[in-house]
Amino acid sequence: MNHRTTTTNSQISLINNDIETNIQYLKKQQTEVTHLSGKRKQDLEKVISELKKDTEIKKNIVSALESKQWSTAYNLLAEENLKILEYEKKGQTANSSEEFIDAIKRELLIFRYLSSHNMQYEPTDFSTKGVNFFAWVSNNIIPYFFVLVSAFILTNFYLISYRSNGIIDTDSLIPGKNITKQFVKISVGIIFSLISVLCLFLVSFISATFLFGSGNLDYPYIVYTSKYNMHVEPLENLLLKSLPLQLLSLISTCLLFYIIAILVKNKLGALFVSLLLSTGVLFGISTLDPIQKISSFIPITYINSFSIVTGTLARQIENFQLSLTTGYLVVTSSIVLLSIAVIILNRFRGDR
Amino acid sequence: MMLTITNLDLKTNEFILQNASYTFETGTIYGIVARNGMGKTTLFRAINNLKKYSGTITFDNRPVTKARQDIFYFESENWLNPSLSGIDHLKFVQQAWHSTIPIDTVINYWKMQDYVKHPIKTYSLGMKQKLLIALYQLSDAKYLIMDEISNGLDESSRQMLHDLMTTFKSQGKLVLVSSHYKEDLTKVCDHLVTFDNKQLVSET
Repeated sequence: MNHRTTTTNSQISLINNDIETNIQYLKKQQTEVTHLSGKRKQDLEKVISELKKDTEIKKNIVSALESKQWSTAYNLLAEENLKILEYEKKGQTANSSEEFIDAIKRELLIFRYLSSHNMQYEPTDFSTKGVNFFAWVSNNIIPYFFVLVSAFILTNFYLISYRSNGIIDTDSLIPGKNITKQFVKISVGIIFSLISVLCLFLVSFISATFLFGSGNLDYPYIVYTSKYNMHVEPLENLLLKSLPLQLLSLISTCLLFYIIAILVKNKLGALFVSLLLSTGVLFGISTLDPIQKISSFIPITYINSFSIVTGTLARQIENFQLSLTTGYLVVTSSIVLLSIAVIILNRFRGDR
Repeated sequence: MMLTITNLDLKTNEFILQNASYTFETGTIYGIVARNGMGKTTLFRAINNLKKYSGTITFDNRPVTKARQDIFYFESENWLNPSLSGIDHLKFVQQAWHSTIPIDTVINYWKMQDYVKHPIKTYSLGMKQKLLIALYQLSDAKYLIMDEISNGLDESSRQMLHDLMTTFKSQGKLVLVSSHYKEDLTKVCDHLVTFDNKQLVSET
């Protein structure tokens, strides 16, 4: 079992470690203070007094966490973070950095939200609770693993009627209009993908809920609106915005795989091109600068809809053109354009 | 009612047919006899619009794309989907060709009851070939184009095929069947057609 499942326990143990360090330090300083005099003694006594206060607050936090008084606990933690943030802003610590200040700001926002909603903390990088795990799957599994698997399955399915190394399409022997047959095939692929992804969501949610609880749809997630601006939004809002975009993006991907399949005609070749243009591009978005610059115009980018809605991807690749509105525009346009491409290709393949 | 080939140019590496014309009448069984590699399958593919050609091929003055409902062509048992069963294939053909022939009739005719629900990957060559002929029978199409259809059949099944072809003929269908073995076709065909000097020529 993931130790993060016992989130509160791990939080408590972290704070307890801090308390233990404080106590050790206090003992050392209390011994030292007896050998000092004058201003140095006064300074050290001040440090000792602050340490005692800090230890007391930490003990209060632990006690609030243990008694599940989330509002009190996270209010105290938020105050702690606020103090750290003030120190950092004044540059009073040696290891001040933008990343560290950002991290403190993020925690501060989350703790304030949790405190006002009297809600338990849940790590969002490796979520375990039902709805949080659902969001984690949407953000981490669908864009990579699911796209890879669906490329394999759909390429095989779309080329199942091709014989003699792709020379013959046996579908053309079946009565009916070719264009109708093609759109039926594409629709089956799309329905298969959508049902698979919904099943994946359902299984993830049910298994996580069964093991660790259902979580809370009000749980706060950090949303970046620019490199330095952030706020928190409840998970429910984010999912309602991101899921339709992700499903639309999957439809666009299915159409892309179909066009690649009928152009390449060979299963292995089509799979290679499909993976290059899907998984390859998705990895490229997080690693290759040229792709990052044009990523807002690439429909498959928006399969990362959750990290687009939260602004995480935009912040990571410094391209704030990536937004929900651009996503709907690009993905819907791509579906229309790819459908037109299917119709044009059908004409080229042509009925004599 | 006829299949008409007019001024057909057909080539693979070299010309198989050049400016060839031929008319196949319905209610007749035609046997295409030629050695391996002469272009029997290529001709069948061209007739079914699976291979590029120049010239005209019409079914009752309609291009193949407008006559799909009346044509049945299933090139070989390799085209059967190994994961599906015989009954799946039969149901599909019955539905796609809007056939009124009951599936049981063809299953009983070819005695496929024991294995028709099993996946094709478990079939022997003869079983697959019987299923393939059953698909032709079930399609009830007017134009039946059969490529080396007697491959893998035992003597009694071959006789059943010949009887069936005669029935097709009596129903006014056009049967176009190819084989490398002339004696296989002479028994049942009304006309034997061969490739000669890049033309289609009757042998009768």
